[in-house]
Amino acid sequence: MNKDKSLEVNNINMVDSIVQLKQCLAGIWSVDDKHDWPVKLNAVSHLFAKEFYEDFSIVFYELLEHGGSLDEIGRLFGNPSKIFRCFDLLLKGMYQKKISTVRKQMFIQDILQCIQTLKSGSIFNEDGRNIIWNEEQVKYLCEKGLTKLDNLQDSEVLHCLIGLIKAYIEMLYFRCYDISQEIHGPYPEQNKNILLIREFNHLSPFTLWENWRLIPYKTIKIFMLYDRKVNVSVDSYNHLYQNGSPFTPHLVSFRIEVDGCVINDIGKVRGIIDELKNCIQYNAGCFRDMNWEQIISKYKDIFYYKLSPLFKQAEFNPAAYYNIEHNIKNGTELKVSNMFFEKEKIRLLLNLLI
Amino acid sequence: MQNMEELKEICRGISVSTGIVHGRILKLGENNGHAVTKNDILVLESSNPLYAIEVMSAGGVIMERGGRLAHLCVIALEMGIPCITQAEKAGEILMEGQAIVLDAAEGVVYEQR
Repeated sequence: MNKDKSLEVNNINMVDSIVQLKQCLAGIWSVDDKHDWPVKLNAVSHLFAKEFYEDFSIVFYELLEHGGSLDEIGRLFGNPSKIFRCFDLLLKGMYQKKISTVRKQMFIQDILQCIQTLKSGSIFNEDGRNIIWNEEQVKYLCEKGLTKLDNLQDSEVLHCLIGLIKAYIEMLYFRCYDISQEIHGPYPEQNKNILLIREFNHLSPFTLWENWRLIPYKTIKIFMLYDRKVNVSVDSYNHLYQNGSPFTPHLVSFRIEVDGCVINDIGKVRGIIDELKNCIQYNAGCFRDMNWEQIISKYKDIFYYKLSPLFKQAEFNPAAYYNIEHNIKNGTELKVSNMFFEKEKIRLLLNLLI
Repeated sequence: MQNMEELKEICRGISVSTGIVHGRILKLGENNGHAVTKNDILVLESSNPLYAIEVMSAGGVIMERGGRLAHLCVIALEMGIPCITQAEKAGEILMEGQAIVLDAAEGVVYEQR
């Protein structure tokens, strides 16, 4: 009897989280057009979605079977949006593999649990806040760790740094820039300001881009306290939406950490900006030399790069990965619509997928 | 700046980041190597991070295709550069060097007289 009750509770939770996931994805997919740089992901992901799902699910359950926990798998990924943004490809892969609804939902439920272990707030960011830190961490940083802004020019330099890092990581990871980026917050501060944290990891992936120019830093973390005129929200795919005033004139204080070292000197920030510009310009030249097959093959490698900590932990050799080159050589880009679909239509599609 | 009501609307898109800016149209594809300044309003067909540095130097950005979350839109938003997207046929309608006013909050491009 007790066992039945427990199952019932689990089923209700599962149904709830699946419904919430569908709502969340419908909202995101209605504004996210799967941009067409370097290629429209929706048009090429059929070439590796099935294999990605296969290798992902095998290593995932292998880790669990060998004593790992969902918590540990979550930590192997590192940041929540990196897991959440796998859903696009996983849903397509499960559809191609004709996985049963029950199995799909159980897998999704496990993934959602992994994401939850990395967050202090909701997985689905219903209130527009991506809450990773707890209140104490926010309070400590706001009280001890921020430097007051001197002038507007400094704010412009700091936001230029953010813009350039975003350009740099998109060139490295295409649409999988979540491998590097996690934006979290906005966290309320006691003086009614808001704290927004932009973390950039894996900034020097030399195994992925052997011949590209990479900055000599692994992580850059940017903490910014804005006044209340800045009204922003962050969805579960780590998209940042601005609903109020621009960032630059409303920055109150900041902190920059490069590989764990605090940098207060704007001159040093300008130095990093120059390094980033140099890398972007050089890498742009390299990118222009890549053909379609090389780009798609690299896209596949980037997706698998996300899973590399899991493969390493499980000492797993991803077998399906080796079929993808064949798919690319014999496959083509699909013609997909550039239209933005209404949420209702996306919901219908999601009902088919999940 | 002229009264907006007196200006002729020539193109329209959706707002990415707010701000009103006036300047001259610059189409990057035709001007490789051109040093972009704050007097330039860039017209781009779609989001392409290869143009990130130029976008960061521009006074405003008009994109023909792509969502509000397209990469160059995100950069413009971070840096407070007025930007609109989904401005259909902007590349055809707007002429190189043309003086315009971009009201990015309303998503409207006006001809500057």
